[in-house]
Amino acid sequence: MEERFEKLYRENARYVYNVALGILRNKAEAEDVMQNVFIKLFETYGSFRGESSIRTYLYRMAVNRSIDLIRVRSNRSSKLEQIELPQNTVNNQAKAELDSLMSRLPVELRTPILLSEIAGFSYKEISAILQLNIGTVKSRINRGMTRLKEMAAKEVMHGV
Amino acid sequence: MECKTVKELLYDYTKNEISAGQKESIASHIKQCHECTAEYDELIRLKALFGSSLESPSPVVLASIREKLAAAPSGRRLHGFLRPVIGIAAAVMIIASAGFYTSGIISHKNNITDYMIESYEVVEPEFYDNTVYNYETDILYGDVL
Ligand SMILES: [Zn+2]
Repeated sequence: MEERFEKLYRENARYVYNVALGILRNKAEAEDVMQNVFIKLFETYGSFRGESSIRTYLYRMAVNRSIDLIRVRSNRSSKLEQIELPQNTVNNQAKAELDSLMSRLPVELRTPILLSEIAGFSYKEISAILQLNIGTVKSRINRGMTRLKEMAAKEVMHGV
Repeated sequence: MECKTVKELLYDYTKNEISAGQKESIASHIKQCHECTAEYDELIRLKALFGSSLESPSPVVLASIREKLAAAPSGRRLHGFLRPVIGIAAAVMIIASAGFYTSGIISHKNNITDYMIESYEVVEPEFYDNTVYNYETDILYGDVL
């Protein structure tokens, strides 16, 4: 691998994987997505000059492919969002809590939050990746975080 | 600054995506308002969950990617490469939507499909002209060739 691509890969592979995993909540599918987008990126990255546009493209492919997989699932059965993350991936308390909260958030609120919290993208970058305007990105993230807070508070009240 | 405004801006505050003036107002408000402090602390706690929940992809997958990439020719130009992909993507979409009708799911509207239709009409990024283009804001992103 070329050095430049190697660096890109090293710096992003884990985050791309976790964003896909957060959307899909299924390890095997998230690994497929990761494999897929890096191979695709490798074939095209020579055409890019700026690092930021490569990253935009990379995460956009990862999000789009993950959403496509959800679509395939939903075509296969009408039981949407019922594919659960295998229990063995939940190996600590923080992860268990986050997984429980995020699983109840619709994917349109979950995705921008994942890009912000896992990959550390700015509103502007998320806007480019999701092709939504910045106002929409902000409001989705804020709505999502508010819901997470409300759900977390309820769980404390019910002693979960 | 009022509590309502502070709460609305808390996430922007944690991302440091607010004006210097707002930042100062929020910081001083949090110091003297218990309710907003509690909100802020909870937000920080939730944010920390993401960091401590990161998974590592299987080493087998990583090895497989490296292997495939090592064998592949690098940095091919986009034009010839993406065109057939877009064709395939279109075909996939047609087949997928056909499946949609025959399975009767089309009447089963929900958040996810609404969202996908709204945000992800395009299966592949519009990349044949080598730029990332945001239709909604008419802004050209990136500094591609
Ligand atoms: Zn307050």
